[in-house]
Amino acid sequence: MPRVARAPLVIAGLLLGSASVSAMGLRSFVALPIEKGGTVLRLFDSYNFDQNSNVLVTNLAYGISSKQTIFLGLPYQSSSGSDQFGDLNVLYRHVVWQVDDRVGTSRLGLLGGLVVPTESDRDVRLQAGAVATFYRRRHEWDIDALWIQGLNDAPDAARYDISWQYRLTPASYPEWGPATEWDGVLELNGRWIEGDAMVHQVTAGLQWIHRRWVLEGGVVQDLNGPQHTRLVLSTRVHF
Amino acid sequence: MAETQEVLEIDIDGMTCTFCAYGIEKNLGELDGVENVDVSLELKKARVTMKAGESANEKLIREIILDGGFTPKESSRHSKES
Repeated sequence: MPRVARAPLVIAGLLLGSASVSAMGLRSFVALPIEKGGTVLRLFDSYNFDQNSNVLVTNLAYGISSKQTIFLGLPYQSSSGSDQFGDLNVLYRHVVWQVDDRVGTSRLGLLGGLVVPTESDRDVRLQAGAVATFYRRRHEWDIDALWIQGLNDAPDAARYDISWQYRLTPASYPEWGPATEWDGVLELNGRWIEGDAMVHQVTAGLQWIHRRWVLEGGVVQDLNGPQHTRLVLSTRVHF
Repeated sequence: MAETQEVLEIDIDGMTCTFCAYGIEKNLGELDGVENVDVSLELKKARVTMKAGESANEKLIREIILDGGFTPKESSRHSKES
């Protein structure tokens, strides 16, 4: 497959299928804390109005321990005339630093993994990066950056996400028992693939957070480059 | 005749959202002898109510909180009549 033709799949795999869990932003699944033995399934759908194309990413996060998490992501792209799977994204997160206190937490995790092709004409890519989370009272900031090194003919790529989440309601949790909450999300994201300029994006959305599941959605607007607009919808379930 | 149940309350640092707290709530609830688990995001506490005649294993409870990615702190025990 020529480089230009496979670029959307690569981008879909990098941005949607890779590292990014509230606690977490909309566009990335890698900040999510997961308990030892816990599993979170996420379905993330992104519709591009300008290309009339859709990418559905199935993400799975599994807690090996409180410090070690495995993330898997598999995108499925649909556009006029072609439906196909993207590459399997496998990412490992190791939390190397964490400070908890009464009003929040600060964590730093290192990321490493592979992007495994699902078709024989694509090449493996290696990926490495970091994710940081700062949570204070009603505010959460998640920052992640990832470098993807292409092997053989695979292009290099990179991404970053800076996400701010603010708990809109409730202002205070109930004294005991689970609470349903609404968070507002504002993000600055960047996606780069070798041969093109970095595309910076702004994402604005809402998260409806329950004890075991989350519904979330938002709008993504390119700030440069193709100037595309996307609608993203996602659901997460904690097993 | 009313029976007595032991209740252990433990402070948890770093517990920040409902979705994140579910893991420890679930795992504490699966411990032998536990009747009920409540989590308070406001007070940053878990409250483990034992079945009548059962005693809370604090070491295991602390391990589950650590495995959940949070930090267990001070704890206290009291009794209540069921």
